[in-house]
Amino acid sequence: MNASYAGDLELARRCAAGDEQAWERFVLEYRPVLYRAADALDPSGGARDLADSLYADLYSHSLFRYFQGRSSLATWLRAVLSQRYVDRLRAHKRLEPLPDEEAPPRQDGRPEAPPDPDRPRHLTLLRQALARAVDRLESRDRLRLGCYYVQELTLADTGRLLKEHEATVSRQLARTRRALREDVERQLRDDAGLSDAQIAECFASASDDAGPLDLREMLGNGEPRKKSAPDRSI
Amino acid sequence: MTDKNPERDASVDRLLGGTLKARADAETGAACLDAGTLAAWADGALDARERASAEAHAADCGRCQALLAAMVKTAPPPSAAPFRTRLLWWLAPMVPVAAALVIWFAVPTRTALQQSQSAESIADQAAPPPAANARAKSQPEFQAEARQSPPAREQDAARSDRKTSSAASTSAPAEPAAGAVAPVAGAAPAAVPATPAAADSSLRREAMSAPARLNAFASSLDSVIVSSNPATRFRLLPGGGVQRSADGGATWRTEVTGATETLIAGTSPSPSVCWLIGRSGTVLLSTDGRSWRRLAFPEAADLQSVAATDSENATVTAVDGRAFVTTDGGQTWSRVPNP
Repeated sequence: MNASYAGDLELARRCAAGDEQAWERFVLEYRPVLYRAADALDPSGGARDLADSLYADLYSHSLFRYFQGRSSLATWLRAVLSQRYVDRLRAHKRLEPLPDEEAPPRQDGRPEAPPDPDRPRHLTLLRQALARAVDRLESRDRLRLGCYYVQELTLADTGRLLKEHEATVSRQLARTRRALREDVERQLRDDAGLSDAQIAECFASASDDAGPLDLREMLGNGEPRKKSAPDRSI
Repeated sequence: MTDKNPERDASVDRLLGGTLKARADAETGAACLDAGTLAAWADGALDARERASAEAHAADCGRCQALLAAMVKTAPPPSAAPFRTRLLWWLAPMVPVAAALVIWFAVPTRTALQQSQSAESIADQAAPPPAANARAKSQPEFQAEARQSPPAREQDAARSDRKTSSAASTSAPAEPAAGAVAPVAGAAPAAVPATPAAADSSLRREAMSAPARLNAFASSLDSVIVSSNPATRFRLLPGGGVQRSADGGATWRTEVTGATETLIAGTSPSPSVCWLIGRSGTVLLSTDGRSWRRLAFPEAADLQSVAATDSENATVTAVDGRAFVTTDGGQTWSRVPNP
């Protein structure tokens, strides 16, 4: 228990014990916190029902006993609400049908360029090397990348999470990208035995204007199908 | 070789999202961060060992990364007071000096006054227009931006825009009174979406007409109106029906309202008082939590939200944004002027 939050812990204990005055104070001070958090998670109001249900659980199921005073009560409420929100989103995501992967036709009317027969192999090599390079990063670097690339947080928000200045986050992201590129180049050269020209082709195959990926070609290329998630050992 | 590095960095950049997402989607096997740890992290209350352990887990766990992102989203805006305090403390000793200088210059000669006025007019002409001033960045902001790599800077600018818009839309509505239920989803202020899927959904929502929005909401409605005492709840049923629970939702009793219009939302400022609103100007009020009275409403407009502090005072908002207020339990209504 953190001494700074002793007052919050006492309030939670009194609420759990059915103290009406404590509950009234909780309603007055913390219900708005829950609604603000719900609206921040889903500005269209879609998380309000979660806030209501959490509020009701706090009242009827003594959820308060899980609050140990390691943080402020308001932050703990945000954390519980965030858990419920994220779990609901992830559950819905699992039920969503997969998007149609078919590539859209070219808009400029020009005929499709013939696909580069080596592109699937180059991309596979590049992806595997990149996955291994990511494995070798420090966990803080991986977390920073995850916040920025997967969760799409801003530099400032990523910095707030990691207690870093946003300029530091920016520099660290650039440094990590550079380290990843150098590691990938080294793997392609030393482990895969590619020449400089072949390495250049590998990188070119992942460039923006290289066109859509032909999955059938990739899978029918004789390459064994790899696990989507690489080994996590660091 | 060196001049190819930016292109190669861009290729790494392009593949990174997919690579990291594949890692994040896989199960880690380790237990996720509990709410207590997550909250302590957000409050900066973890010790170094706990912090390192939490970071190591979150680095490879998609769920925990999403939780952390949600925590950031719900964090109250940082207070500007400490910054101002840091900025201004050194000015305190200079106050007497500044006061003396003001007094010294407050008795100007006519010439000095004229010079001062002409200098101000020059400064006015040279100053950028207000809009340009508003866009101007503070020096630290500019320096931080200048250090970013171009892709990061562009992406972050887009994210900041998105966030600003989102923040503006979320901060606009007032805090609901105790007992208020969620307003209509389609009537919420438009927010710039975070993902392409959300963008699509947002565009579709905006393209919907007001009645269509109301229909969409009504069909997805499953909200329960929780009173200020959560033991008492009201549940809206299709066709104007209402159910009431006095035991926190364990059991429900259907009540007769006399309404046939679809009810959309409600608020219960106390266990015995509940206001309900719906289509075609439908407003119902219960002051004993059991019997319902239909109130005369000045417009047959489809209504979308209601806020009330007791059985006398309520504000009802229509789908078109017009708001009506009563201070006598719905006997009379007056239009709230648009801001």
